[in-house]
Amino acid sequence: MNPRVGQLFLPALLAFAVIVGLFWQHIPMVPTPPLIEQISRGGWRIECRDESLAEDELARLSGARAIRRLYAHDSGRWVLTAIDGSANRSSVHDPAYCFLGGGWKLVSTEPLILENGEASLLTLQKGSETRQLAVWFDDGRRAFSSPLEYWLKTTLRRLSKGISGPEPLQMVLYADTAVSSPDWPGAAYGLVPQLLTRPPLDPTK
Amino acid sequence: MKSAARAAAPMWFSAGVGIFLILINRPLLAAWLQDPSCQTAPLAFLVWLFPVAGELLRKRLTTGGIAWMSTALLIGAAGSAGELQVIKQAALGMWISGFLLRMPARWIQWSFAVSWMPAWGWISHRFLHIEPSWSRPVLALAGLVLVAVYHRSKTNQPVTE
Repeated sequence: MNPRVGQLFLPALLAFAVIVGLFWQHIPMVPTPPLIEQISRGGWRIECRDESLAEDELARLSGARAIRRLYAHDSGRWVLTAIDGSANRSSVHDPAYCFLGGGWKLVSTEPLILENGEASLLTLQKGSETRQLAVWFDDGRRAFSSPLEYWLKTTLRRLSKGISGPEPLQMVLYADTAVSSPDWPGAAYGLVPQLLTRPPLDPTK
Repeated sequence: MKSAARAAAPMWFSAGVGIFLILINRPLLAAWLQDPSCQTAPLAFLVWLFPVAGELLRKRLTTGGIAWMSTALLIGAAGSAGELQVIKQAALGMWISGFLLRMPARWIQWSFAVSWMPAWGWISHRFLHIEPSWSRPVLALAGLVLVAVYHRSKTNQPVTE
């Protein structure tokens, strides 16, 4: 390498990387209303009640915002936990993996078709207890179940300082009572579309 | 002929890249201490470091190529700006692997860095259905063996990178 290039290029590269790496995350994001504030408190044939999170759950979130709401709908009584990882993305895990830490065994994973995308329907087992959870990510327009897509979107959001879109929420939905076969299609098409207030569709697109 | 990008990086540059990557990877230590799937990650890290320590003992440690170290630096900066731990850890692994003399050995060493990354807990459970507790040191050991076999096969050959 040309010594002059080495003398100029390498210090400049190091300085650029250090500035970007250490200070970029402190530049404020483009202000967008957090999706977690758009989680509905009711709807057509829906009653809603806020539930509080347990102390250990709050500790695990370490700064990330989360809400838990209980919904009574024609399809049954459901509990929704929504997590916004804007302040601490590390608190958002792949649910198929993180429930294993609680002693649950993943029995099966099936796709659950939603009006605006797809969720994963997990069947978990601990001893004689079986539980089903629907988990997905929602960016306000589309629901998706891939954690890799979530990490890609949230990384792009941080790199673009929010221009690429709002922080997707992690949504976890399960039946409130020990129902042997929850009405998932009823929840997917009756309850889930009303959980998040969405912007009106643009007729030109 | 060596291209400029493959020329050895100046010591101050490699050291600067290392300091930056260690600084941005401070959360790694907390993950190792707190994440149950990371219990054997420090052990895997020590096993994984063996080839670099071996080169140090044989006084064959290099300062890495300019392209290799610059790439590690830029990956680390992107991971830090995007706040994605796995990218920052990959950059740290790349930096350490850069001290090996031969390019294929660097690639082997770097690819096995996943053994000490917290992400291995997720990868091993989700896709391979194996326990990270035993698979981490085994993976690090496999990397060590591969690098050793490669070095052994090239012992009497001149470095051509």
